[in-house]
Amino acid sequence: MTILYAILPTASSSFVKYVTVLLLALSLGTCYAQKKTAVKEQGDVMLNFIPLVEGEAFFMDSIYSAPGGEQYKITNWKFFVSNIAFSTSFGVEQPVAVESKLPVLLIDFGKANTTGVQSIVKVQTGAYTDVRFDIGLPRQINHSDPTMALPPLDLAQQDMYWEWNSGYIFLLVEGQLISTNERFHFAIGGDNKIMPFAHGNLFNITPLVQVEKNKITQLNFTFDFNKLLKNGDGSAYSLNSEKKRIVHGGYFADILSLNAKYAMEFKSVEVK
Amino acid sequence: MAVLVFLASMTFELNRKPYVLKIPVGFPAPLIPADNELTVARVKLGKKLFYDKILSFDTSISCSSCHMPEFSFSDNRTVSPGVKQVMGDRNSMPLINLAWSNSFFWDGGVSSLEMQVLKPLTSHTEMNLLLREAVYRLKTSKDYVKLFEKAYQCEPNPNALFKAIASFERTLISGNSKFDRYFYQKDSTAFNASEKRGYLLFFGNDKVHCVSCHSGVNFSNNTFQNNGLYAEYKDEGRARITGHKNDIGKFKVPTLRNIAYTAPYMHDGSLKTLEEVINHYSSAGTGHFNASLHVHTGSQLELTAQDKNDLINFLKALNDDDFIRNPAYRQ
Repeated sequence: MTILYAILPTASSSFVKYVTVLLLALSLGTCYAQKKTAVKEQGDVMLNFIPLVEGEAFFMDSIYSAPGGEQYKITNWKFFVSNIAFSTSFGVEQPVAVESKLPVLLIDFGKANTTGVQSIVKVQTGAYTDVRFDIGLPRQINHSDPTMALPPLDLAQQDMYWEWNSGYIFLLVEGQLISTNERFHFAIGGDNKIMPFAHGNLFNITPLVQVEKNKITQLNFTFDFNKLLKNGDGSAYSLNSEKKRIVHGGYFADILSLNAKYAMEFKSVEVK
Repeated sequence: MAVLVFLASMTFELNRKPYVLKIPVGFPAPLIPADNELTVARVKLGKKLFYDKILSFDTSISCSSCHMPEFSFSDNRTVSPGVKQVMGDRNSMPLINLAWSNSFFWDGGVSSLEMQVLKPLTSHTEMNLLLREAVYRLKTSKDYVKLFEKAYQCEPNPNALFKAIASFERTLISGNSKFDRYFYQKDSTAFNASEKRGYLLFFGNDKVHCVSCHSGVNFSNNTFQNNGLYAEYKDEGRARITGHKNDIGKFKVPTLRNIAYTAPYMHDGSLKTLEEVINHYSSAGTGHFNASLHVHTGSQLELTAQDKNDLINFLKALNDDDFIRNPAYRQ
């Protein structure tokens, strides 16, 4: 402004005002243009979750053997995935965008096709060495009003919400023992039961994922139910006691949420 | 045209006419969420829903089947039957002064009166109705479509359904017992001699001091306590929510208002009379590892027959017959 007055010492004050406004408008326009060009392109990443039992393909209602020897079948297997992000080991994380607008996926293995359950997310194009997500929901979502929530958090997914303990169920597996017909019901939830998953290698110079425009990069993850029934000390999580079969919280929910972190594994990546 | 605009604005105003709660003397301001302010239309809709059997799977029961006005919006059963007479596992809690409560159910698992509606509506041992089916039934009723429009300016949906029932429940206010007249309205003649002695035992005497837990306008400090009822709890109570071992056997301290109307007592309805309740608290209890220090478990109280009788008479002085008979609460 001072410079302007120095250049135009004789100019009228109204003229100076017009020029000032013009310059401000130009500078704002430049800023906007810079910001606009700073937006990076996005590519599609398909997250494919494959249900397994003991490394073999899973089918709802088929009979399987647990690590503890019990025979069982599964009738319902669902979980929420949130907080998904990609990064280079030394770089800034890029959170993903989900087409449903909510940064949450509901994976329902009851609706799995022969290759798994697929969801497409948008990621900034580039090379990434690491991927992470949580099985569960962030605190602010977990305690939001489900009657106002959009899918998949609305109450149409009623079995993923505790009616007696306000909050979402992060991981739900229901089934039945073959020998006794006793049911099992694992409902893992609560803010302290989030099950984080991460895959990457700090020292791997080869990117894990190359996200490109107009291409779909597919990441395959496996979730093996029998690994959910294997404890960290190598022992089997037995289905023979009711306390271990009907789990809503407490000690056995802690055990199962720990086991879940190992039951989920990164399998492969492919570009289509 | 002006007449039409005037009529439309009048209708708009009528639909939003506030419902003014009659707050008893001595009560603090009620807890009413900003997104569900009380209006006459909302309370009317909530009351209709509360008494309507359309909200149960086989249209055999309504909220009022287990929460009857004559039992202070509780029932007289140990545990209540749901659809097809499937029995629940806990005693029906009275619905009183819920606008001053911050947690619901015996284990306090739900912190909002609105969200509380979800459990009895959908539970297999209660009304057993899928939420989408409930909404479908309401949407196909011309009456309900009109009432929802008036109350919440929307068609029936879960959010408005829960809000409407919560609105009606917030109007269930009890604050005109003998105790209220004595304590809050300063009527020194309200109690007879026995009730007065019971009052002193309840509040001021170190020998009993029930008010350690049963305090405030609702005679509940809204905490969760293990009252030493069992050595081992089949129902783990609060621990079902928190998963903590030190919450096993803890249940929400219930209100004592209208207590004479709400027998049987305890979370499982296992004590049938007020005499049994007093005898439980005056006994040494079971010595559960979580038993509250306030319930004298482990050391027997030396209550005379007169003391027990006085305590029971005081508890009966918490009855609010106006509340029980209030026609505004009935169908």
